[in-house]
Amino acid sequence: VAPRRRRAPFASALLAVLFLLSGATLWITLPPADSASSVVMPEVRHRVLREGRVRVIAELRLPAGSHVPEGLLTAAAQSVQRRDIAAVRLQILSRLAGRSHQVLHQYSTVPLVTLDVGPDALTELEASSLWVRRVVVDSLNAPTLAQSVPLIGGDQAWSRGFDGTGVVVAIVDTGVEATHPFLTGKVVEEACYSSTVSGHSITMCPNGSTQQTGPGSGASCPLSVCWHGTHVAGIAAGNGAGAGVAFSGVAKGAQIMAVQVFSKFTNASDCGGSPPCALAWTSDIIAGLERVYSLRGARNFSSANLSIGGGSYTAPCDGDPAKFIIDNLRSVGIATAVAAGNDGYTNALNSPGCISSAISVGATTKADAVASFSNAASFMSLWAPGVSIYSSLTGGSFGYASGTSMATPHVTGAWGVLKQAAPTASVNQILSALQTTGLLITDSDSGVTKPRIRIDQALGVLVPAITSISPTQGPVGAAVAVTIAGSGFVTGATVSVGAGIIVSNVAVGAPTQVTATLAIAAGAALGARDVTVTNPGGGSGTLAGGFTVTSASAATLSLAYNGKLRDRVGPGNTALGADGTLDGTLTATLSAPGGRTVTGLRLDSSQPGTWDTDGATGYWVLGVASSLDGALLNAVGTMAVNFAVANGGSFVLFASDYQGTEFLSGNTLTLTATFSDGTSATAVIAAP
Amino acid sequence: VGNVRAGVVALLVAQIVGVTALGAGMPRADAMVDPEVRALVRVGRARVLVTLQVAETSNQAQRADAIGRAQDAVLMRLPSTHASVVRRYESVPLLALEIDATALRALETMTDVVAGVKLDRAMKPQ
Repeated sequence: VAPRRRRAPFASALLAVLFLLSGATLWITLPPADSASSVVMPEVRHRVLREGRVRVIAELRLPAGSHVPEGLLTAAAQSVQRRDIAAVRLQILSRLAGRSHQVLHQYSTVPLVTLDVGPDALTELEASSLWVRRVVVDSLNAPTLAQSVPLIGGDQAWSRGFDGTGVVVAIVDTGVEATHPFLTGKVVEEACYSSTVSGHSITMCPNGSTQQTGPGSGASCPLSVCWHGTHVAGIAAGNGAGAGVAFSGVAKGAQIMAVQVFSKFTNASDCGGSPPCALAWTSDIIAGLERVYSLRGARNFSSANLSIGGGSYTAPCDGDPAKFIIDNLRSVGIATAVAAGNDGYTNALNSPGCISSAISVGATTKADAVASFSNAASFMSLWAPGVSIYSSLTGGSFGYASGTSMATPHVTGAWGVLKQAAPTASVNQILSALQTTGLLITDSDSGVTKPRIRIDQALGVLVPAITSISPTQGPVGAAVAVTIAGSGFVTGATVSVGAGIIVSNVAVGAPTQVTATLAIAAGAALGARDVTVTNPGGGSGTLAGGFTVTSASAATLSLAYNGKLRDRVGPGNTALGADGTLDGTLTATLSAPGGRTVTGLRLDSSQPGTWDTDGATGYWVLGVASSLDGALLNAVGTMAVNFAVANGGSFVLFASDYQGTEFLSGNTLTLTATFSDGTSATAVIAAP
Repeated sequence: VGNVRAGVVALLVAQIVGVTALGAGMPRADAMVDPEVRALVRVGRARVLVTLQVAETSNQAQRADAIGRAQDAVLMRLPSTHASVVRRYESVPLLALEIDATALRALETMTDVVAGVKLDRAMKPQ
C-alpha cells in the first residue's frame, strides 16, 4: 500500500486538534510544514513582511513525540502529557522574552500556543526548532457547511424544492444526540448493536444489553470520540433553522435513523496502547444495517452512512461479509455510503468501503484539491468535501472536523435530496447521475480521477425540466403530434397531459427533446393542461398549463378529380381489387388544426352514383389509400377505414366507373368524410 | 479518528505470519477459514462471521427460512461448550459466533453448509 508523498512525516493523516476557545468547541486542521529546514510556513513570513505583525499558532514539539488525544490516554498519561505541554510552552515563551510578541491563547491539553508576533519574534521561533514543530497562520475558519453545501450544489437543489423532505438517512455510527438543536425532531428511528466480548469490549447500548431498539437506543455513546455520529448526522441532515445558525446539512429536510454500533474497547492492545477506545465490530455494523433493511417498508430510506473503516485493500474486497447486507440494501434502492479511510493511501481503501457495491467516498478540500489524508483507489466511487467541516457536536455545540468521515455524509445527504426528486431511482441510476455530472478531480499523488459530487447537476439528469411544447393546443377528437423541449429527458420517459388524453409514440430523441402523439378524446375537458414528463427513476418535470384542449374546430375538405388513373377497385360493395377498368381517381385534402382521424367516407356523383366505405350499405366500395399507389386502407370484408390525417394532409380515393358516365366533365362530385370525434366535412367539385 | 490501526489487528498480523506456513498442508481448510481466525483460536477464542451456503431465491420469506435453517444446522453440529452465538441475521447468510479451536475444526467439517469463516473485525471511526 502506497502512502501519499505529501503526508507530514510526523503527523497522523488526520490532524484534528481539539481546543477550547471562549467556551466553544473548535477543530482545526494544520497543514504540514513546507520543508524540513523551516518550521515557519511561507505564508507566515509573507504576512509579517507585508503587515509587520501576524497572528500565528505555534505547534509545540513534545519530548514524547506526537501528541496523543487525551481520550486515548490513562489519567496518569494525561497528566504527563499536560506537564510536557506546559514545560515546552514555557521554554518557547522564555526565548521570546524581549521580542515583539503577545500571547493570545495558551492551552493545557493540546500542544499549541497562539501568538501575535513581529519579525524579531518570528525569527526567534524559527530558531527554536528544538521546541517548535511548526508555525502557521491563525486563519479564520468560517462555518464550513455553509461553504461545502453550496460547493456541491446543495443550495441550488433546495431552491428547486429538493432538500430531502420525506426521506430518511441512516447514520450507522457512534449514535446521535437527538436533542441537539441542529437535529431537533429529525431522529425518527433508533437502534443500538454493541457487543460485550470478554477481555475486549463492553456494550455501550443504553440498556446495557448487546442490542436495543426504540427511542433512546441510538443515543450518542459516552466516550470522548462519540461526538462523531452527531457530527456526521449534522452534515447529512442537520437543519440550521432550529439551531439559529445560517447553515444546514445537505439534506436539511430529511429525517434520521440513528444506529449506534460502537463498543467500548478496554484492552490496551485493541486501542493502540491507550484504552478505552470506541471500535465497531463488523458483526454489529451488519446488524445495524440489517435493522435499516428490515424497516424499509416503514421508512423511506435513501441511504445509509458508514463513516467507519479499517485495513487496506488495493482491490475490491467482495469477500467481506458486510457485502451481503450492502447488496440487500442496494437491491431495494438504498445506497450505503462508506468512508474511503484516512490513511493517505494512494492505491487502497479501507473496509468496508472497498466493497464494490458500497459507495466509497474520498475527501477533498473546499478548494477542490484531494485532502492529504484521504485514501484513494481506482475503484473508489466519489469525492466529497471533507476538510474543516463545521457541524453539530455532542453537548449542543458545533465544531470542525476533517476526515473521509465528513466527506461521506455529504454523499449520504446528496442521496437523500436526489431520492426525493427521483423516488423510484435505483442506486445505479443515482450513482450514475452523480458520477457523470460530478467535477472531475485528479489526485496528483495517485493519478486517480473521480467526480466530486454536484447535486444540482445530478438533479438535471434525474429530473427533467420542460421549457416548451409545440403545438400548444389541440381540439377534442384530434390526434396531435407534439414536440416537448427541455432538459434531462431520459430514454424510457413517459408523458402525461391529464385525463382524456392518451399519449402514445413517446420518443426521447435527445436529452433536450421528446416527441409524442396526443389522442384527445371527443369528451375530453376543454382548457389548459399540465404537461408532465417522468423519467424512469421517477423524477418528473411539469410545464404548468402547457397544453390547451380546444373545442373541435370545423374541418374542411378540398377535392380534386385526377382522371381515370388506376384500377384498384371493382363494381361491388366489397370489391377490393382490380376489375380491368380504370377507376375514377380523386385526391382529398384536409384542413383541420390538429388533424383528424377519418372513420367514414362517401362519394356521390350527380350522374347519379354513390360509393362508400361501408360494406353493408350496398353502395360500391370507395377505395382509399395514402397515395396513388399506396396500399388500400379499407378493412377487408367491411371496407371500413380508420386513419389519421394531419392538418393539410391528403389521401387518394378510387371509385369504379359504374356506367361510364359518373366522371364526365361537368358532373358534380361530393365527398363527405366522417371523423372519429363525430364531426364531418364535405367537399364539392365539378369534374373538369 | 486517528491513523493508528487497532492494536488487535497489529497483533493478528504477527500471528498470521506465523500461521500461514503451518497451514500450508491444509488447502481445503485454508480456503475456507481466514488465517487470522486460525491464529486467534490457537491462543484462545475468536469472534467470527460464518458465511453460510444458502440457495439464492427472489422470494424473501423463503430465503429467510433457508438462512434460519442453515444457521440451525451449524449450531446443532457445533459443540456447545466451544462456541457461542453472537448474532443471527435474517436477511443475510451469516452467523456471528465466538469460537475456539474445537469449534473451528467442527465448522471446517461442515462443507455442506459453511462457505467461509472470517474474522469479525473491529472498525474505527474515520
